[in-house]
Amino acid sequence: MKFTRWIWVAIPVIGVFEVAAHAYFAARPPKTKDWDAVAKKVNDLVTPGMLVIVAPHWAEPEARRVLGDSVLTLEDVARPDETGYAKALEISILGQDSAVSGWHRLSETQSGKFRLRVFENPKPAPVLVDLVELVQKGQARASSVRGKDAVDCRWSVNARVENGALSGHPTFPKTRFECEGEAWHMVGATVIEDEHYLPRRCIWAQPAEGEKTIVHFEHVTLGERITGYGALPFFLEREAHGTPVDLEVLVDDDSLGRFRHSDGEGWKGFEFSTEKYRGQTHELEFRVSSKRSRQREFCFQAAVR
Amino acid sequence: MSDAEVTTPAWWRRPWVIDWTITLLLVVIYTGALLNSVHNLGYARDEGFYFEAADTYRHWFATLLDAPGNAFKQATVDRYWRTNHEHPALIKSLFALSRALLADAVHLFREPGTSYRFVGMALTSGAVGVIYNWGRRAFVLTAGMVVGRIAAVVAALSFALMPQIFFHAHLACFDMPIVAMWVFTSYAYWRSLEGGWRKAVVCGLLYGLMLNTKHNSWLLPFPLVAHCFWFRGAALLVELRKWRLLAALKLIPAALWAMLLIGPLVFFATWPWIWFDTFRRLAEYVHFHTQHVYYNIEFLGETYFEPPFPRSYAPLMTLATVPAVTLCLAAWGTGRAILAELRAKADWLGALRRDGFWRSLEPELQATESAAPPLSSAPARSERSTAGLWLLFILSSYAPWFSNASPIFGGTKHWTTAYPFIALLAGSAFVALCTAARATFVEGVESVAQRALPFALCACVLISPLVITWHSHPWGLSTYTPIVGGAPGAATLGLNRSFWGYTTGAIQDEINEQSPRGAKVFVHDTALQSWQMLVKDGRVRSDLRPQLGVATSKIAIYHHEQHMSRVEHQIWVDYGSVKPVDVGTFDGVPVIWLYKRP
Repeated sequence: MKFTRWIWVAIPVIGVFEVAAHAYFAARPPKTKDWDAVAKKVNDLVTPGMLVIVAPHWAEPEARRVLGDSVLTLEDVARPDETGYAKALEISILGQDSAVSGWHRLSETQSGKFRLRVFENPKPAPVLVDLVELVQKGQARASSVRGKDAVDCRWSVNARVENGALSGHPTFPKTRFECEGEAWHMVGATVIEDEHYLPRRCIWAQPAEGEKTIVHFEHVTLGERITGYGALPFFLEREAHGTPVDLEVLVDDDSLGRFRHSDGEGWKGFEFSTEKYRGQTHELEFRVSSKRSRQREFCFQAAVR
Repeated sequence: MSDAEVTTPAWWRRPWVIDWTITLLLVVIYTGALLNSVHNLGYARDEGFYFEAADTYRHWFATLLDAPGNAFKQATVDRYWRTNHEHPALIKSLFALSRALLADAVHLFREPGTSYRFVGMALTSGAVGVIYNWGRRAFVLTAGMVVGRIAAVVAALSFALMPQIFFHAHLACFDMPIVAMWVFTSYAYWRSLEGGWRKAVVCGLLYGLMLNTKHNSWLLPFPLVAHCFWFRGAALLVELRKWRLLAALKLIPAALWAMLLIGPLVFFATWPWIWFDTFRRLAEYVHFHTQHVYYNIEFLGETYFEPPFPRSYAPLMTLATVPAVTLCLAAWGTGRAILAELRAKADWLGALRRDGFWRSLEPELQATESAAPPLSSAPARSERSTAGLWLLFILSSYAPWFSNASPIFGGTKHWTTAYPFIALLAGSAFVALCTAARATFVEGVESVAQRALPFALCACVLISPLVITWHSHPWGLSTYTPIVGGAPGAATLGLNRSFWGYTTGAIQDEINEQSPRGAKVFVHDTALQSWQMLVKDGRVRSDLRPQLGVATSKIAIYHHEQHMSRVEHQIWVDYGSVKPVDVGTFDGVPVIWLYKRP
């Protein structure tokens, strides 16, 4: 009997196989009750300063729901990168890896449908001073400079919160430095989306037309370098039509260098050495400027390491 | 397989009774399934705009009854028909009439929103019935009554049980109505090829209504003209070369003339907005759709928002959302259809090589003149013409997405007009499947097994579409087939999880439970009109105050799309929390979540 006579069997087999495959894929990820159940186990494993990361990333909302803001903080969820963490707990479903899977594994346990792995960063770069956090707490100064005229931005702990929904701007937070003019003319900690539409917490510092926005930190004890990232909300910069934005970093009046961000570059990193100031306390200044102000919703993250 | 091979019971031999019974069952059961499952399906963004338009049109119909003279004045027409005039009016008019009759007059539906949605449900169910009848008529010619009917059922249900068809069939939108109108009009065209002018007139009338349904109607003439040319082109060319213009025109099916002459008149008559300032308004309508703004859509982890769009989008999304068994059958049916077409043209190709172009056409003309017209002969309809026509419908439905400039933001709904014909080709392959199975399997086996085999095969090819579709509700747009690993696999691949903000309905109970009295609710992608319909239905609390901004809200809904993540980030900073109080998931994949201001 020729094999080809039986080839029709493939169709009903595909039909039946498809049902079985459907059942398998539908049942495989953890459901709401599974997430509820794993929360305690995760809480037992988490230690202070530990990053909790979910793989795949799309499952993170469930983790945030069951673990809450104390375990998955806004700072961690919208982190600039993973380099500052010494340890991480990876909650993995479907056997998927995360950004920390290449770190040194300390432990691995299976809890229901979850694989819980604790990793140690082989080369941690601890953050000595989180400058976003200083802005959030108002432990900084902000001003808008046109030529030689500087106008201080007013610190407010109860500013009017504004956000622009899909097509608009990120949230202008309640605690922020309010500069003259429109609401967007402010300095404050907010969250923007990067080129993968992932959250990045940063300091909003959109310059006004012909002006520089300056963020000033006093008495900062420096380490070996200042690292950070700059970007515009990707929803805005993805069309790559805008004028580049410049960020200059100064210690006292000594310029460490300039960072230029062009539209389309996304969450782009910078690093300036502060080796010669290491262990010393200085004033630190970030100057943001652009030839045109329109839609230059620049936001940067910076840390002393 | 033929009738002679299988002893059919007497009741199978009364075709119209049986076929009407099967048709009615398909229509009633499908409509029932749609109505039964509608209550937890939130209102899609566009539905809200169409509700508003339908309500406005309803006032015009009331004016028509109360003061007919006034209803036809431009000021009145403009006042009521200006709303949502970028889309034709037929379906929204039916929404209005359905609301007035089925909800307000006879109280058939307890939720007003369902009365609008009933139009799409009825039309889709009607399309399921017509697909059955079309398949039955095409398949029984070669397969016999029993297998032919089962194959037709396979075709009808393969269409009905595509998860995204089932989802869109619930909505008060135009996407399923245009699919239904395409099926109705093309079926009328096919029937008109049997001869006689009445069916041609029906086809023309239906095309007019189709023109007033959605702009996909502009595509239908292309496959019909191509079909005509494929089957009568040779004769047409020869006649034209001999300057026998009248003879050439006679070769064009009457239905095409009817579509050309009656269609536009019906279109004009049923859309009051174009009664005045006609050409400018028509130009505006065409411009709106040919220059449509681009929206965002995620595909393989990347959000596309402007051309060039990936050409792989349409085929891959079809593969990822239509059950594999249906696609395999359709591929088999397509292969058979193409082979049949090529075989049929083999003589002409030989003559072309041997005698040159014009002389090669002569036998075709003689065949047309001496025998029954090829399009109206029964074997031609079943073996060549019909499957060829279905293929052309599929091709024309996908054709705009051969260009990388065509918008893709609507996902699969852009090309769902192809799906009835994919299902019909699957049905045609089912005939071949039964033939092959019988030849291999049942020779010498008892007649019970002979009779059971087509039913068993039918179950095998429909069980997967049935289970996947049943499981998909109310997460229609989040549903993916096992070929990409289901919804979790699709999320990992970065395929769009949902759009239109309709999943609000899936967490409506949680919204009611979590919201403080009188709370302002950020409704995100749900249109305010859609939210209001949820309130009218009694599905969300009337004391809640919907708004389009996050600031000052107490409750925030977030509908996940990759590019929408920025809205979630706005909520985090505003609320000072990243912890949702509820996450609506489909197969473990978060689709919509809810925040409550701490």
